[in-house]
Amino acid sequence: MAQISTNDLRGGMKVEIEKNPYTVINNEFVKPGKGQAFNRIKLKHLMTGRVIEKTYKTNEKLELADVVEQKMRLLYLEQDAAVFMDDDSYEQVNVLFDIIKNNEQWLKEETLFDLIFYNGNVVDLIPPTFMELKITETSPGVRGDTASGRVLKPATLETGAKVQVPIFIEEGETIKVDTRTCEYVSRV
Amino acid sequence: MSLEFKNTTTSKIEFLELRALALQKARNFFNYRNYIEVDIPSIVKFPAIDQHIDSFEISKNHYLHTSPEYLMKRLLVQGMKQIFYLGHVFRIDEAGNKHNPEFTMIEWYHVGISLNSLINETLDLFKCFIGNKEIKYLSYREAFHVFLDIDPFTSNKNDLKSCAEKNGLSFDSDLSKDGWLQLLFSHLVEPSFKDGIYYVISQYPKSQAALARTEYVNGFEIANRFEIYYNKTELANGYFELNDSQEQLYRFNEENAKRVQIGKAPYPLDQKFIQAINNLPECSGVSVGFDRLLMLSYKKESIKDVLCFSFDDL
Repeated sequence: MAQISTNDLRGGMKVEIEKNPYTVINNEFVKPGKGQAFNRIKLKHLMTGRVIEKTYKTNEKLELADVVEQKMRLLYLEQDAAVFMDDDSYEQVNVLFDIIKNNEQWLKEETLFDLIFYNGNVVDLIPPTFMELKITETSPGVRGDTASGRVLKPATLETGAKVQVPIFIEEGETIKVDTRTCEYVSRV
Repeated sequence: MSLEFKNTTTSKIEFLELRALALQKARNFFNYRNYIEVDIPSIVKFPAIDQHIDSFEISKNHYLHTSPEYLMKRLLVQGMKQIFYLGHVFRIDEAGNKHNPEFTMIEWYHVGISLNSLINETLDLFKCFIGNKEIKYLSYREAFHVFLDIDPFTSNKNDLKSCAEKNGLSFDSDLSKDGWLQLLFSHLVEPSFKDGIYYVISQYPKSQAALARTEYVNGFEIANRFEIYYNKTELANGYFELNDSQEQLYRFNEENAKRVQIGKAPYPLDQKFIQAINNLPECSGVSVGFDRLLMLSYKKESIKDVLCFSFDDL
């Protein structure tokens, strides 16, 4: 695998340290006027999300992690996995719900997701930032409740995600939602 | 006139007017104190020899200077008494929030002045830009005692390594003892400095003397060298200047040997400088990062915010 000098690391790059993949958050150059130069690097574990800080001598070499991001379309759900397909190669891949974790709530068929491959295996997936989803369950809005400004109520979406929506939104409507924050954006 | 600046947002063009004003202000500071400005060449045949500083070689055997020190000292030998340089210096690979490969340095020398007088003069300059703040004086040894409870002179590499681990510093490769000291100082001591206070650190280990004279204090050979920090930023590095050709040659050879050890090419020896230094009158000298002075004066987070163009913008 390719190597990179610690001084060339930039935010977003993926490196492998002790057989674990990390995303570089930032890289601070630390050097006394007279003395050894260091790079103080903040890293986030690709799977666990744990953030660590490590210091290296400037121009030490680190391994770049074999991390590839690929857009794939969700075909269907199985009992314990989701099946995705590459639109160009028709290649399919099964991703266990254990890997998808919290993002299971955004799994909608026919949608393009960003799949993160590390050493050829899917380790994470990222849903589109905004999705348009149908409300499958919410209590009816009660008129006269809106005097104190924007009043929200809980709603469940077709993919299982639970979001807060304005009180005037009804069951069966489709809304636009921000998947990063689980926040209602607008009616569609 | 105080250049202490209200923390407002200014455009780059407005800021460059302030930068020009600050250059003038620094020159006025030295002119008023009878220093002569010397605009010594930036292309040199003999770069400063330091294991951790690399010079841009611009054509065969010609380099951009990393510091004006050697040529300024030759001027002192030729009879000048009080000189300052305010201009650019160049160092390969030094880029970050507090570093730019080309930066502006103020360096000055005063014949017949003690290191303590020079410390006071340096603080006077800082007061013009940053303001009159509390000053804390610590020896290098005291700084390690106060912030890390460890003795930098008697500790060995393993002691320093476990000190780093104990303080949550994750560092896996090997370093010389000075390397460990520099790691601890830059990652643990410096960040412990309180904001709004000038920290004057003096009496460095002999192994970090660079071009400073040494003396024995409490049984340890220390360098007559100081640094000044403000808001966790190194601003000044000064010496009571070495004037012993033999010792100078010895230190150059040591530095070159260390360069070779870490896979760098040794630099050619500047014989004119080495010869001259025996006749260097007793003097003290200091260099100050002008861009950092501006950063602290105008509360800028990055050196890029105070430059016409940073290296990344070229």
